[in-house]
Amino acid sequence: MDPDRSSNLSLDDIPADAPVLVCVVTRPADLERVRAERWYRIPVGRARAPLTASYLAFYQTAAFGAERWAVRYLAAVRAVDLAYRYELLPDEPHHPRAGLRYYRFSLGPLLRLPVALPSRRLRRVTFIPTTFGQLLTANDIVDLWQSPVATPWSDVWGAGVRARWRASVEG
Amino acid sequence: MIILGVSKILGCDRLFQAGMHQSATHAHLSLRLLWALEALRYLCERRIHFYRLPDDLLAPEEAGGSAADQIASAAAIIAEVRSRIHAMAIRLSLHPSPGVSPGIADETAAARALSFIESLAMLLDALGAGRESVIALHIGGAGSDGAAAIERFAVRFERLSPAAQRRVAVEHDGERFGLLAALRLHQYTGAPVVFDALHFQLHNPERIGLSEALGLALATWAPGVRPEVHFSTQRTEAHLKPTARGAPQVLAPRPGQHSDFINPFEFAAFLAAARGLPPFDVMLEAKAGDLALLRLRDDLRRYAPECVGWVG
Repeated sequence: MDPDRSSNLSLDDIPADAPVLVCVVTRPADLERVRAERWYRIPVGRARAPLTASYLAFYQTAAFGAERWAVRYLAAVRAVDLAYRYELLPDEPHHPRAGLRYYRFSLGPLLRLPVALPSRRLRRVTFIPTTFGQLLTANDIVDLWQSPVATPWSDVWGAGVRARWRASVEG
Repeated sequence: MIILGVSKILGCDRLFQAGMHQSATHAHLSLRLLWALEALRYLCERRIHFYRLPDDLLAPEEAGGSAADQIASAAAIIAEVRSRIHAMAIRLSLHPSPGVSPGIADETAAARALSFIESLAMLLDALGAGRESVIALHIGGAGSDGAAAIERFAVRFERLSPAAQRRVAVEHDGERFGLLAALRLHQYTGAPVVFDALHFQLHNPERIGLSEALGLALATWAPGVRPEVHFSTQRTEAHLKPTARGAPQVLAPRPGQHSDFINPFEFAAFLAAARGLPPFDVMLEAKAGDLALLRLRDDLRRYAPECVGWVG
């Protein structure tokens, strides 16, 4: 799958501290929907991780054949809405979760990571909150759980919280 | 019981970073509110039921369209937040930057301020915030003519919609407009007065006593609406300004600069001065936000246990 070329957004535009949520995609049709229709769903109340990420990245499970067990793509989050599953997927009205509510994330174009991030041993992946910088530097998906570089706390308190804001925005 | 509130959340790094990132990129209102949902959940887990929303939940008009359009496009998430606010029994408030002041001299800036106040009021209404959820404003204006600034504020207040007027509260400041100026504006406009303990310490030209001053401010609130009071303590530590190279520059604290945490002894003295007055809620204005509130609870338990049952 090729990333969408219609947008000017590139990986270079994404700050290293941008919050990313790694989601699990179990069906190729769902990733195709992300690419073609630019939206993704997460059940309300099911995700224990914070959902306030600026980007969603997608861990592809065994269903993806040669692309399985890795994170290869991410997309910017544009907006969020709420809907029942039967509204989002009208072709599946009898699905066991058809009556559940989902967050519907509107997304930007799918972007391909320069190097896929594999999961060499871990197979049961759930939502992983991380940052874009960690996504780029991790060697394995388990590395995403490591804490980011420690914040210079002495500066934070000494200079006031605004200093921390400046550091995060200006990099 | 006095409910303590916070104006920022530092205890959850991911929430803090996500909020900063969303703010810097003018994220869509629906995403800002999803962040707010997680912020409210975080606060409720810590029994914090009073929160000052960021004043940039709505993107600037040039980036996100009109406030009405942004609110309409986030209707489903707004409904979700609304029901959570109700279920969590959380009080909200807003305190835009000092530039958003109806008393400023420049007409263009004043028009922008009124428009911004309207949009914030619209958002609070959409979120179903109660009558106690106010937009605390400073009087504004520069120079020596304070009376003119008060008059400008009163005249422009009349230009606001009734919905926005119902949300406006006036806060005295620590340099120009003392409590009596805010009380005068209350007489002209009916807007309640937010008492700020640090501002009162910094600028009290009439030398009014603390209990009396607090009582005067509390009396401006409508019956049945719990007043909002601001509390912070003067920063006394050096300010380390990061430099591009080498050691940080050491700066003395500015008058009126908030401390990172709350001095518990000052807070206990404030509570003592409030004995016998009508109940109110306190927004803590400390740089450490929620961490300062949690620390204050611990400090009161240790140093002023007689206050513990009085503060939530």
